[in-house]
Amino acid sequence: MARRGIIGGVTRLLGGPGVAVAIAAAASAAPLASDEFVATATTLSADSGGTALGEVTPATPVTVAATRADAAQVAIEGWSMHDAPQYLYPAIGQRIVLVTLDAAGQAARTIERSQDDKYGIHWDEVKIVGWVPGANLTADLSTVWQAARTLYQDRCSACHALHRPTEFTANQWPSILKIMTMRAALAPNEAELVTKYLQMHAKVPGAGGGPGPKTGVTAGGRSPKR
Amino acid sequence: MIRTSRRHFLQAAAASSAVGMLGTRIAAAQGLLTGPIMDRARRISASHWGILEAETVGGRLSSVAPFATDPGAASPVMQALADQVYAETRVRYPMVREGFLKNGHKSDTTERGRGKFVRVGWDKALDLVASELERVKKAHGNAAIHAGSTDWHSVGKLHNSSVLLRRMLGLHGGYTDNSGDFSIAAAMVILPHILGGLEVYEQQSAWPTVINHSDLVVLWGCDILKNNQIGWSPTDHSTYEYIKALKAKGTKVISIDPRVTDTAEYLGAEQVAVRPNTDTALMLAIAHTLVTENLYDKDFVERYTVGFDKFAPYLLGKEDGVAKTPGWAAAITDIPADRIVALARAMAKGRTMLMGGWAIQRAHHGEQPYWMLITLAAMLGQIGLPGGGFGLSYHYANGGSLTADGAPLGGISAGDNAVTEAIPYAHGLSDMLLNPGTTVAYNGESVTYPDIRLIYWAGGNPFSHQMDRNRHIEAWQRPETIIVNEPFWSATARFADIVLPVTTPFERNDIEIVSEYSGRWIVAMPKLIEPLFEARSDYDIFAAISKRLGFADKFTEGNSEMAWIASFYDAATTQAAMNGIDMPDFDSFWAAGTFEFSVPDSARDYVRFSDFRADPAANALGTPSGRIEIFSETIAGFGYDDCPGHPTWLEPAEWLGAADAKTYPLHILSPHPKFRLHSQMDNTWLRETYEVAGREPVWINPADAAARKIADGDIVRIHNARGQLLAGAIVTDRVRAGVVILHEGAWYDPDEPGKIGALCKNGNINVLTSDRSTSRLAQGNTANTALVEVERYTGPVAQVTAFEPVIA
Repeated sequence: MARRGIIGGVTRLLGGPGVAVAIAAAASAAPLASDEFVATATTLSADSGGTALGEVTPATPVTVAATRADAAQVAIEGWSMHDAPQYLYPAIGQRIVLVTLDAAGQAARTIERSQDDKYGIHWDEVKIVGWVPGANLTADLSTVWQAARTLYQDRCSACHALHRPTEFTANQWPSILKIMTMRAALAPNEAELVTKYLQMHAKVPGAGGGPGPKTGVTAGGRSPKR
Repeated sequence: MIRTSRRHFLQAAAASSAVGMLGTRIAAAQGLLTGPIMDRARRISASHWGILEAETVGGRLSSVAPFATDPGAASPVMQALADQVYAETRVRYPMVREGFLKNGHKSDTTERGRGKFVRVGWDKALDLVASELERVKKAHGNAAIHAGSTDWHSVGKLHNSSVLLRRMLGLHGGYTDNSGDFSIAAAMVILPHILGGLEVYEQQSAWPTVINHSDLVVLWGCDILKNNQIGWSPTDHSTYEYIKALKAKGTKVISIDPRVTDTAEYLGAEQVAVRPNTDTALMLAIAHTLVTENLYDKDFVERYTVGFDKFAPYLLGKEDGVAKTPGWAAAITDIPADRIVALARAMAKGRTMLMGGWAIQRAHHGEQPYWMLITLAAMLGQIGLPGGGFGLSYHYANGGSLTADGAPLGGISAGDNAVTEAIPYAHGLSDMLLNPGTTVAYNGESVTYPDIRLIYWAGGNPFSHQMDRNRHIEAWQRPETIIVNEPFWSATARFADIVLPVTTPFERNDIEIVSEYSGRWIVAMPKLIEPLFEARSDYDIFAAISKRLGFADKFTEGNSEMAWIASFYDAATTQAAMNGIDMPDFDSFWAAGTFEFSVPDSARDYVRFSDFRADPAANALGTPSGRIEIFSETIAGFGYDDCPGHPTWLEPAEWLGAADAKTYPLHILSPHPKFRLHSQMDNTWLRETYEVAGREPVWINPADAAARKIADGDIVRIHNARGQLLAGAIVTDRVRAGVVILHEGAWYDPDEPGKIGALCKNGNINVLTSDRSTSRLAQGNTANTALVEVERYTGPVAQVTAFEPVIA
């Protein structure tokens, strides 16, 4: 899997790494920086190389706040069910895991506002800031999606006709994958990648959930299916 | 007659040995007649019926026996595998229908099924296949090519015929595929809306939790003993030990079913002989009693479900003015009201496990009984508790067996398909062929049927499983070209233009994992005998076609058969190592024949949905709400009157309460056969053990038989407006009055081959079934919704010819 380091991108944009504050100030206003994604499952740390806050899933969009040597400080925003603060999703009722927060991560997050969904379930809009290895970031998800698509084809068409990603919703896909992980001989990290790929290219019904505006679908290209 | 002599042989053999040895004896005798007894060897292999030990003598497969450590009762069907290999119905050579050989794609397609076949050489056959694929692609585009097969091809991770077909066609530029799954077509569309996943292929609460904690087990159209003989991957038979334990414990069992299943009989279950297709009404009345007697779990409903408030008014009659009372349901289900009340009280009294079979969803509005079964389980409030809740896979592939700490085994893959339109297969095959360009609703979307010019089928028998045979035959005349890979002269082969002879698993190398839910063994499937006649493996056939089409390198990826197999195994060892499990290298494994993973103690305690119950937020379901959806806004939003927003009793098109039931007063059901895997193995000596009057048996209740002057053993004609067939009567009170049972999978055997409306002499059920769909939601198949009349047959006795070979 080819990964493009964030440092290179930021360097081109801002003229050189090293002045963290200046970069952070500039990055917050730079559209390219907010289009970065985590290319692979990545640990989010409180500071560069420090306490773990949680795990970021592949293709999660981040806003780069600062860079330092080979690390980047990123902000991730999303929604959590009030009763399940460990999971950050892109939108209310849209259960695509962006980050799984440890206890430390749950303590470090900020709640920006709260809202009930139509089922009476209480949700919080959450922001978490932490550090990730710069090499794990990419501005272009096409390589990530290509790898996921290949894995999906290779493993999931070994038993049955390949289901279109749009056959199920983003919320439904994890359950389908859970059943099929063993049958499809997917290792845990592979299953995570394929799940995320299918969720991000899933059916978008009125009531079901689907890719949101910040989830990187346009960067990776929507599946050419109906 | 060969059949007669075989029967004599059986009788002679039965007189001198155990019945279980019959198949072995026949196969061994065939070996004796043709070769010297030498090179006797035993090797392990695998089949849908589990791991097996095969004996070869003098280069012939002489017998097949269950694996010594098969933990349960290995299926007796396995014993006939050797006979199947040497069946008279083997396709010996590549064959082409004469009219097609002469006129190609402009041939008279009404000759399918009756036209003479001509033997051709492999090169000629493969050239013909490749040129047809090229022609259709150029003239009509790849969407005009249909890969039908998703049937029960033989086991093996490499020689997976339907995958290999798709791999070849995908490299050719694509094909029209199908979506859905014949077994669970309604379930797989509605359950993701209700539970957020497929559920039917989900590991069940481990059997020990049922044995230790269930006070009551309800089998709802669920025959555990009969159906667990087989699995998509080779299965273990651990369920059989657990059923023995359940019986030993004396757990109360209720079987809600129009027939007395083997499981119900073995367990001494209380029988509730409901009318077919009325399960939803019975469940509604049970739910009504739970509400009126204040027996339902309000806390569970509140915390873990959504939409009960929208369903309850319907249940209580506030929506449509009809309360779904036991009295209301009694008239529909033929179960007395007080019995329904007693059922509700029994279910609410202790820990109750509802085990649902799949047959109840293969019916008109088959989405509803599943939705209502889950609603009922939610109202009982025991989902996620040991011994409680519901399970939809206890009858399949030994669901509920213990999951090993192992590594998965992958296989060859189909790869991509540039044609994205897929049809709802189970119902839509004939519909598509007859109505190209028509758009149908499907799960909130729409599907437009393509104009299919070429069908390629490998590893399946649509002329057994496709409903409404006569409509199917009419549809089958539409494509210009039909190509079939088959080991046997099934009706599907007989209705093809080009038939390519395929090896059985014993004639090639492969590998498998056993079984789907336990993942406990990896098994080598070494080649034991040389291919019979001119048979080739599907892999070799599709590789040869790929070569002609210019992409052999992509098809084979430069691998030999053994290189593929070793690569699957090596990938498993890599994953096992990540889990800290050591596996032997490939050569050692191959020599040993099996590798067994260990089962952790924790597997005994697995309870489905226990995580959801413990923390419904963190373990939210994949529904929009994250909970069980008793009312689904998504489904309601589709606006389908044949599948509204909550579980609903919708009268089926054909049932015993219908107006039509005067003309055709018997409801016919087609459960899975005990001694076949669908149509597989009907061409073996096993047939002699179950046939009646030389054809497939039909179960008929003594009252219905007496009214028609039908005696046990009579040949009967079963008919309706769709078709007619002959069967042999078994008069038995194991089926309720008003219902007849003809197990599916008897080979289609028309008295006038190829003719629409011909009489099937052997009793293939789908001559009588309808191919209407469950609803616009799932477009599933509805084989169990059919009314018929039965009469004693007095016409000229027609000899069954389906098992005679097609002569070159």
